[in-house]
Amino acid sequence: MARPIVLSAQEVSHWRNGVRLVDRVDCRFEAGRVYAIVGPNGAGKTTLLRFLGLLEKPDQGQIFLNGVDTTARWPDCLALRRQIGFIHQHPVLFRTSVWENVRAGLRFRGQPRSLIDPQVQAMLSAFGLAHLARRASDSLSGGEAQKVSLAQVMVFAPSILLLDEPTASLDPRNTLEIEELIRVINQQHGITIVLVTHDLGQAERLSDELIFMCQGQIVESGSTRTVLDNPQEPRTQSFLCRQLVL
Amino acid sequence: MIGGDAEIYAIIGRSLLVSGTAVALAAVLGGSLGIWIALTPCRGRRLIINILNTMMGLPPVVVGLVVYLLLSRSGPLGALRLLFTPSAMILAQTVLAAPIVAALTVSALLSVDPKIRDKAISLGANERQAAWIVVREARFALMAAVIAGFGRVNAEVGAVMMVGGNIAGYTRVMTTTIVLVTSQGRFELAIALGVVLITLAFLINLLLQILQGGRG
Repeated sequence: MARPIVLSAQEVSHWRNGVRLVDRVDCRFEAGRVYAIVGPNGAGKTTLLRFLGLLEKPDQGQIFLNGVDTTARWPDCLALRRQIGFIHQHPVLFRTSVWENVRAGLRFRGQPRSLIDPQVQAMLSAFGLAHLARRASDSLSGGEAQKVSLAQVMVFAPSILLLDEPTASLDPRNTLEIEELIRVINQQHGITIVLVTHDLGQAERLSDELIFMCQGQIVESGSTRTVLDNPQEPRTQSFLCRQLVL
Repeated sequence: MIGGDAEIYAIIGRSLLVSGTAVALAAVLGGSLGIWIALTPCRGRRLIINILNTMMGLPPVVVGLVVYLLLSRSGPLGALRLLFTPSAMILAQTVLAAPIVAALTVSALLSVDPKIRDKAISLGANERQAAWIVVREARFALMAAVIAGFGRVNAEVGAVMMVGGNIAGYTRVMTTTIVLVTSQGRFELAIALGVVLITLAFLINLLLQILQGGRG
């Protein structure tokens, strides 16, 4: 049975300083699946992810969230944006305690403290962060900070989670821990996940579908296994060869 | 002085009241202006910031002169009869401190990593909530801006002398007293008040250091 499309981009293009960063991109994301967007630096992966997260509006094309054309509503997208969780490449935390960081999203939504506190407590426990609740965010290690970032997003139960190279600045042990959390988030909560990564191993471990981008375009996409085992496009083949050599 | 001269304590109290009130007003006015300038990208913002930075160095006697002309009987605010009152001194000191607070507020807010605002938006903040997050991130630098404003007016003498008149028991403050008693050859009192001023300046800097230490 086909899964519903929760997020899609249609003919999305974007320019910056005369350079076309994203070039007529079409992609669709089905509910509950994990997608990896892979490609070399400057391929437009992060720019596309920011459009999907409704953090920026593309110059051309449309982003649909659960069938709603978000670009037509721009900039009045607050209610739509609140359905999406976005994790930055390097953990960005507010200069306050872990507890305050995790409850920020619920406070933005105007929830009363009596409802917020139990949710924050539960989320910290679920992510193994309860012992860090009172710690200042700037005293955390990179791995702890990225876990807090995940808890910060998951506490408001997004229907889609977008991750921009979430393990880029982490050591192998923390990388595996974050990957495990991502896997649990997808499997236990059924959340659609779109992951930008340079790490083909990570894409293979986590994703069902792989989208390969190069020079602002989607060059190839399909099931992760198929694209990795049998890439059809020369640019995909070349990128995969280079990654394997490295 | 330590023996408990009531007039001296009254002068110290009056100094703190005038400077404290002026800084509180400057914090509200200058702080609001600074927040608005920093968080509202517009054409000409660079020019406004340059003007504010220039105003940080306003000569106190010029401010005293302008406030004097405004409040003098024939001035536009003469009907308020504020000249040679503590209110006139507060007004002059507010004019001196507000640009400092505003300029340092702008600088503090523009120093906040743009990713902080981006993060707030990505967590579902509306524009107002995201602006508040940015202000909160800069809180230590904002407190430092207010303290810098206090440091500026606490040691100021020219403007308060001109618009306050140094009236005994009414508008006489520490700095104007030092000028007066020095001219009378009463150096012990001048030195004692000088020590109080320097101690205040030291405490202000200490507070600033503690706040800046809290930032790390």
